[in-house]
Amino acid sequence: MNLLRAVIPPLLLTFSLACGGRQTDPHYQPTESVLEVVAVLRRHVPDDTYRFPPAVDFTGRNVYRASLIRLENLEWIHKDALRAGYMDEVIAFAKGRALERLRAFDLAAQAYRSAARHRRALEMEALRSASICDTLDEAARIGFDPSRPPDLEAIDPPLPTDESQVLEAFEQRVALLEALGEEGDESHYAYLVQEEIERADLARSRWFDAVRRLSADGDVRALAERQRVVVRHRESKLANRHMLALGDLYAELAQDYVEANPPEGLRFDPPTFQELVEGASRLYEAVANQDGTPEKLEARQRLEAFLAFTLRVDRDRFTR
Amino acid sequence: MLGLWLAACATPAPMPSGSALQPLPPVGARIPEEADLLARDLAAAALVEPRSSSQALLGRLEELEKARAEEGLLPTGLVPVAADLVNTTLDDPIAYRVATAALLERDDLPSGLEKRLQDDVRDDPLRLADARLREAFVKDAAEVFNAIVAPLSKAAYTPIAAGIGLARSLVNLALSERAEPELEFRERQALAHWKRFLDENPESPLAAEIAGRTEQTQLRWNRTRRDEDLRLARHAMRLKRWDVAYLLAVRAERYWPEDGDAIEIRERAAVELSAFHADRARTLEVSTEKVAAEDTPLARDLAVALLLPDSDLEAAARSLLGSAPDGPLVDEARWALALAYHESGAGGHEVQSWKILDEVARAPADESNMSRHANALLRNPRQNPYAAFRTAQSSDIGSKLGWVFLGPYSKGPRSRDLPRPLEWLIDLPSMAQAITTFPNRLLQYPWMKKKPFGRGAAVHARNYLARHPDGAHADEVADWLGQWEGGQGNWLAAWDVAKGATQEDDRGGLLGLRLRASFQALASAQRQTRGDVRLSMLRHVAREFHGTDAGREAAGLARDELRKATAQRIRISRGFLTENPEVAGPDGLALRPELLDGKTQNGELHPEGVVLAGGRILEFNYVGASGSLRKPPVVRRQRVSEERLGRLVALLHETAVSNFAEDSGDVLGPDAGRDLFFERARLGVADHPDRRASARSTYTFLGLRERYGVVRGREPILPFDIVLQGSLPDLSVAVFPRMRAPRPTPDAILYK
Repeated sequence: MNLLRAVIPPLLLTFSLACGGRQTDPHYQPTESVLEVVAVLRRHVPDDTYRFPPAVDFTGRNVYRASLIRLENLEWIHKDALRAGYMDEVIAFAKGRALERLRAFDLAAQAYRSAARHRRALEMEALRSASICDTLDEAARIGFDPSRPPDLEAIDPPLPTDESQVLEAFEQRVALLEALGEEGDESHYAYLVQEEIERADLARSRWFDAVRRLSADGDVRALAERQRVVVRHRESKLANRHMLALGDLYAELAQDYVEANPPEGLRFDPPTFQELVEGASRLYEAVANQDGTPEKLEARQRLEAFLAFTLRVDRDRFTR
Repeated sequence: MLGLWLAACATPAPMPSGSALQPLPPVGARIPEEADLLARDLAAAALVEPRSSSQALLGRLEELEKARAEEGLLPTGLVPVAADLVNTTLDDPIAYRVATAALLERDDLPSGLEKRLQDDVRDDPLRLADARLREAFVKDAAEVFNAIVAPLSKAAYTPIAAGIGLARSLVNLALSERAEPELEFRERQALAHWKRFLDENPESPLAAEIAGRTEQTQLRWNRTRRDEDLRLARHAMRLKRWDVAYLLAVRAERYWPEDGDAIEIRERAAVELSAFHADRARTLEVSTEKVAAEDTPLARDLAVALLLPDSDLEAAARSLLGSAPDGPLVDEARWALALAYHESGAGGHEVQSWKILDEVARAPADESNMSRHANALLRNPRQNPYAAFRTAQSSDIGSKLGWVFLGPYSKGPRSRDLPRPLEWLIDLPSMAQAITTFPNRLLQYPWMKKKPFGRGAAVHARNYLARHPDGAHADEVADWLGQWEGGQGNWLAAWDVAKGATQEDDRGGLLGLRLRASFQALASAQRQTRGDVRLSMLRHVAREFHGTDAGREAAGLARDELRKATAQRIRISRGFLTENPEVAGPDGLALRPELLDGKTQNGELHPEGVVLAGGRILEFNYVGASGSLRKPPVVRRQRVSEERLGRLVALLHETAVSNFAEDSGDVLGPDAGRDLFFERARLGVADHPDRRASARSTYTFLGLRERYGVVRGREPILPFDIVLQGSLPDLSVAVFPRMRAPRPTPDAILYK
């Protein structure tokens, strides 16, 4: 029965397409030219992706990713038509622009160098972009960052258990990025640098989250680091997510506290628990009041779930 | 209290000299009597010995009580408590409830114990389940009764209207029954109680019967959830949200495996989703249409200009357009031209850019490859927030007009999951009635505090201002947003918008806005219950709105907060002390009696009463020299002994708990900060006050008179309300009984 269920839908689809039951929507026609891809990509190159979410194309895909795939398909499928090489420089450069927004800084630098090899109009800008991407790539390899892809090796990886080494590496990473930001003009790289600084700050706060149970002041440090991210990146598109993460940490601390100190026990301290609950609720409420953001729904549900958890605590130990 | 008022108003009051407190009377040791010793033995036996020992001791206590009665002595009152203690040694909860019910037959139970025993008897899963089912039945009966009686009551005046009203009422009742889930939450409460019974009493003779009921009800519950998911899945299908429909159908199948409808929806959704993904995948492919046409210097120049940051994009686009106005790359060139305008930064160019994109978007998708991209930009509220703002504004105007003229029917008849024409037919009479009441809404609208329109437009307006603070429409959008926020009463938000946007010539308006915002900020700070947050907000108001009245007031309040800050602020009002004299008396606070005698000549306690201010400090609020109760009290602080504080909080808590047990209106609200302080005071460790803001309590013990006034409303005994209803459209008046539906129990929220 399960096999039939798995096979029937694709068969039906194939059959309906074969019979011409479904007209191909011209809206979803294949891409027609290099200019089409470059023009759409170019519209979004100056976008401030630090403050605003990256744009999507008409199919709802990330515009940088969709452009990259289309350019690669163009390269492969139209090898013959493009054999004269009149568009090689353009395609390589455009791929660099798309790749850097997808954080593949090493590949972006390669693409820019490939564009520069043609020694035409884009050469200088391509070399400049390649150099910036090299620095961004170098910065991304510094410090302890479990979210780093396995093929991207860290430079002088610090011991994840040594706080001073980890902190020093993050500070070095941010210093490098800030220097790049100061060097840079008002180009779109300013946004990329801000995004990378935010990413470094996030990685740092996640490290403190991960090790918070190993030291007496671990919880306080983890909270301070999460608050640092919230304060430093108020303008970011991820500001609501940072607040949610801080709220989650408060909620987690409240749950840990109840597990370690059952409310009916003598070691339970109502003001401590109250502080944690207020911290989480205040942050969730703040995000839940943001009209027009998807985080609003998330925050509302999390607040509800968290308040349901507090029902476990006796009313004489916690005033709701 | 009235006497006190009159006396207070007439006579100036001298301040009491010295302490407000009397010395504490010594507590002497009492020699235990035989009954006390028996009670002690019984308590010990109940904890560690077999039940028979407790029963034997209870028998002896009863004999002793009988002997005391024969001697004409007062009863000890220990027997009912001891009998309950013996009952608790029964391991079987059913047997305990039976024994407790028998104990409740006695007429010598103290009221607190009686209430607790009643609660214990009620805490029977089967009784609770029956009660919930009965409530569900009563609710249904009330709906039917009310649906019939209300229209019938008009029969004497307007028989035809009453007939029509009855028919409508019955149709509405049938529809609401249809819309209700098969298993309502009270039945699910009953299901939970049955499950609890089976867990607690697996060996009970009733277990088999209850298990059967549980199984049947669980099936109904699964069917209810399946029906709800299928209903939502069908709705998602109508909206072509195939991903949502698919997920809901899969979930419905989990509740009801092999359900035909769920399988059908899932398969249909899967087909549609596959087609959609195929369409999306196709857009990543490339066709050979125009690639060859790009092998020209002008096309290449445009591509380079598109990629170089400081290129002359407009010139490159115009060159390509000029060389081949009907060529295959004309759309790409126009797009580039729009881009050039978009990036030039000038306000007029922003408009021009969107105009060109609009022209590109108008071309049919099969003739222009760029039209889909242009359409996507134009319709994306993030990319084109101004258009989204205007669209939302227009839609709001429509909604507003619709609401004024049609009220709740502004978007057509209510959705009842029926064929749309039938929904129209059902709601037409109500819609006609709604139209007749439009003048009310017309008058009501300007005075509504929070208007239900404009939230969507406000989101897009904020988005526009964030993306284009110097955009062509920035002034217009900021102006609208400021006005909208003001209309919603959000003066702070309006002030925020105006600060950045108002032009030089509107400084007067800006000042007015600042004043309103300052008062709102002050009110918001004053509403804060936590002292530290309130202080920080007051300081912020004083800083942000310096030079305004509110700013000055906030600064003063912040200074007061700091000066008067105490670790605790648990207040015992004068009314509470008067109604509960034992708390003020020698066994509790030992307050000097003249402070409560209503004579201001010898000093009098202000209605504010006494405040536990943290540590061992008490604040006494006296009526001031003017003798006026309306004027603020004169406050004096006094440090009390550990013993006095311990006695006071113990007696205060005990009195409040027993008052609440006897009268549910005399509520002892939950307050963890208060309870923690009391705990520390009882343990004699209150000397070191907990200074954390979250440990501070502001609980107030109020007297019943202060809480409810002279006349207190009571819960009605009859299950009916008498309703007097007038109707303007048919100029009729009717009086009829309305049956009250049972209130949901406090745990109903867990079943929503």
